[in-house]
Amino acid sequence: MHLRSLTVPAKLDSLGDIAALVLAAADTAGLAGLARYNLRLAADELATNTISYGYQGMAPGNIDVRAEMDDKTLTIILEDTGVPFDPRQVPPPANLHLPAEERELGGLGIYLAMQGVDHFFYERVGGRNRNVLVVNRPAAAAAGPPAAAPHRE
Amino acid sequence: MALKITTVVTGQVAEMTLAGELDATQFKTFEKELEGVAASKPTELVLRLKDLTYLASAGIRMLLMTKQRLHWGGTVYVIAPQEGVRQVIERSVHGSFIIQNDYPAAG
Repeated sequence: MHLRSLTVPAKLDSLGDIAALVLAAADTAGLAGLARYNLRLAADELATNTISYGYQGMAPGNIDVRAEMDDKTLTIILEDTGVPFDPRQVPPPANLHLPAEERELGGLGIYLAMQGVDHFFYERVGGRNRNVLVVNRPAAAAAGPPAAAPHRE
Repeated sequence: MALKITTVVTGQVAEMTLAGELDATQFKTFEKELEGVAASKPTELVLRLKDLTYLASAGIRMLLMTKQRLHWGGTVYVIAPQEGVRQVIERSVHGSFIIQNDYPAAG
């Protein structure tokens, strides 16, 4: 079931709108606490990465965000037409155990995004990067009606 | 939500109280405040995060970059973070920062 969708310019100012969509979808799906926080974090980190690097050397583009829900899962899909980028190929930050002064700093956002969802998929389709974030809905929420009516934009 | 930062420096201890959200749109605010604090190289940086509702990697990265760039080895205390913020910090710095409920530690 389609819940919500949104197209925003790939600019930092769009992060608030993306977060609002993801959090509203999380509420509809019955997510709370860390699950809700982590889904927002995952979408935020991936969108931030696209905004910061995805359109470098290209005309400014957009990010499409879509939320879908079924009985067991909530899915957030982020798409852009930037340079091909598969987040799964980013190695986790090196030396996470080292003192802060000695750490490599790259890859932290992608690492946190991957840690925050139950499943992550990526595909390059029709010149678009498609990042798919899937979280399992809590059993009680999945068994009952949605907390709010679906909304189309 | 905007980020609000209040900073108090007492001797070698710098305390920063953060409220709101710290994401990629707000990290410049944090960077500016943090650079001013870190330049004096306090031995302890106390981050009071009770009212920080959201933290993304941009905030962690800024803190680590500042420590590295200024060769600043002060101890970082994280005080009373909310659940999600605490998890981000734990996953990012793996014990490099000291997380506790109050400062100085009760008891």
